[in-house]
Amino acid sequence: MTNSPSPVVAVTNLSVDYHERRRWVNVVKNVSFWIEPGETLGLAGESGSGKTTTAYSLFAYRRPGSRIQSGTVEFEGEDLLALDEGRLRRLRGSRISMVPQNPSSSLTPSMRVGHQVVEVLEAHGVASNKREGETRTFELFDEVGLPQPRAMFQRYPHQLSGGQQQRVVIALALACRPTLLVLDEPTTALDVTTQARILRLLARLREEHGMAMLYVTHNLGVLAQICDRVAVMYAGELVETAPTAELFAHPRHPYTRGLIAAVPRLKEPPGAEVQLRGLLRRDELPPGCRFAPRCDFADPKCFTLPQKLTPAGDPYAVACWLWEDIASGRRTVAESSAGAA
Amino acid sequence: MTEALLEVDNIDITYGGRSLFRRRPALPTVQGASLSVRRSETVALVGESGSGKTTIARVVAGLHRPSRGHVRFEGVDITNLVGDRSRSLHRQIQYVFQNPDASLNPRRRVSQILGRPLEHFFEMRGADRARRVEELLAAVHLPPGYASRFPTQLSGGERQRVAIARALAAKPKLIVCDEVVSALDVSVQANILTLLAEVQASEGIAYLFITHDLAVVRWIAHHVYVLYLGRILEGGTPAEIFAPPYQPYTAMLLESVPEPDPSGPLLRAEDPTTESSVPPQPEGCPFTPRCPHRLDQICEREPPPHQRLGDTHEIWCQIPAGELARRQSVVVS
Repeated sequence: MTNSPSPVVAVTNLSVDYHERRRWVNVVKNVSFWIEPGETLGLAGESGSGKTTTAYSLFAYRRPGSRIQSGTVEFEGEDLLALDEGRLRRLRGSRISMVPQNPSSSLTPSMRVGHQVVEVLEAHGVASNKREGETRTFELFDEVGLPQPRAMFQRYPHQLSGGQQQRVVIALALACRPTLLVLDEPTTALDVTTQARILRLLARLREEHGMAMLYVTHNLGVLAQICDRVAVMYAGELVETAPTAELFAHPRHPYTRGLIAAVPRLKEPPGAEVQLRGLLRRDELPPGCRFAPRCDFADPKCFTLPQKLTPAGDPYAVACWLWEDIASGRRTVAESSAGAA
Repeated sequence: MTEALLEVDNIDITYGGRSLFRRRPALPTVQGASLSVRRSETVALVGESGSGKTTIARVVAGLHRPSRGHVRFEGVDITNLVGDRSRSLHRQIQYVFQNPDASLNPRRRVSQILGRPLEHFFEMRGADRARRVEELLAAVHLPPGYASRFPTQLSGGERQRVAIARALAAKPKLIVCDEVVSALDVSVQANILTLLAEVQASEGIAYLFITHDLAVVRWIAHHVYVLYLGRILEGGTPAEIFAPPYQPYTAMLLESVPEPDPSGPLLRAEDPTTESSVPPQPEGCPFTPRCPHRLDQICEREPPPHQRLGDTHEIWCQIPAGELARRQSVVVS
């Protein structure tokens, strides 16, 4: 992996544990990645893969009952994990901001949406008075494609559709012109047509402002549309990273192949032979490759041999020691029976 | 074989109406909707939130009475409400909802959840019932040990399997599936769709499958209806729906599908030029404000005319199908 000279954010060897039933359970293990200025990185994985925990680490946010076991999160030259709360509060929402999954729960229901944006502008000192804040809010609403910004300003969240609410949240996130925008399943709760419009909006805003983005979702189809690079996560570990076009043309990790095959598509019927089977079960992870119990290519050695992300022909990095044999067709699904554990 | 199992015949559905708080009579949520489902067939009803797709399901369920039109099941009028329906009719039409968290009682074990319809419809008890619960779990690929678990001890996909097993317990002829996969991870969605197809093949059950995502139904539906703000705008087999000419709204739905292909049409497509916040005229085509092909004077005032393009293919649009085909490019190659 060649690291760029000045990434916006660089996460190195991040490990996070959660406290569950009186013991510490590891949920993110030795995760490293970086995002360059203006770049969009996709983080893909199923429920329970640790993708949201990883995304929140970019805010140095720790869920109660969790601990960061090791690692650094370097943002514009500072280690966020070493900063005090006051400094973090100034960074969050201004230099780094977030668009969460459910827009209705991230807006205050009893406050006009315009005032919520003005509040953020004032809190971070972007607007020095109400008037300036209002003018700036109209501009932001216009920018995110909300019709009739002045009328929108006066609405309460429940008077807006899901897509309009998410546009308000995006306006909030962009209010202070962040260098890094973290999006956690921002369109999962929306209709496909609304999702498409939000994706087009994000693509345009990225072009205009050059901000870096981390886009987190379980749907690789969405990442194909908007990301420059994709990182695939399984059971707390990264299993593959590659530029988007390469990842979809030649996925190398069996899990990535399964995730791509699972995306509902119009052009061809789903390939039953590459479908993911079973579920991610945190309590049944083998000491070796964590994906082995669900992998159609696994052999007995996979269950005992831990895997870590290693270069697999530029520009790929893969955590599978069998990837070359799988890619060349030397190893097929039929010959392994150990996988059916 | 050609006889319809379920027939929804030209229904209007209206919520509310004149009341203390509402002066004007309410506008219909669904207007003139007709559809039919044959035995062992999957019929998809596709539309966004607010299209009225769940409202149609509620009428089929007997939870709401249409203000006009009829619903027939095996030729018998069932437009009446759920309280007036016979036990055998309850048994034959079952439902699976979007959110299994809300539809499964968290304080009942899986064995009790599945056992209840067995007792209610077939008076099964004791060992018979336990054996049938085990069969149902096997049918949805869950281990027998799950019978003693609570819903909270299961993942979202597993809970949806339990909800499907509960519907199967009644040995229904029709299952209404309302957004059954949209709350699940894509990897789990694929598994649930495969399971539904498998159950259909073995039990001969028909599905009325409701979703907002056309891609989900591409490979499982025998017939697709596209619904927008209460009006059906296109109906046909998947092969017909996914090839031009497209009803303009269908084209927009197709362009919105995020396929696992970085060169797909999603980002190249354009947003509708004007998104007017003024609701469309009740008589006109509801899609007019977002339609790239709209004819200003006609579309917003007159209902979109019916055009039959084949035995099974029909669209509702002012623009002749031939003209639409000329204007449109192929979305799905």
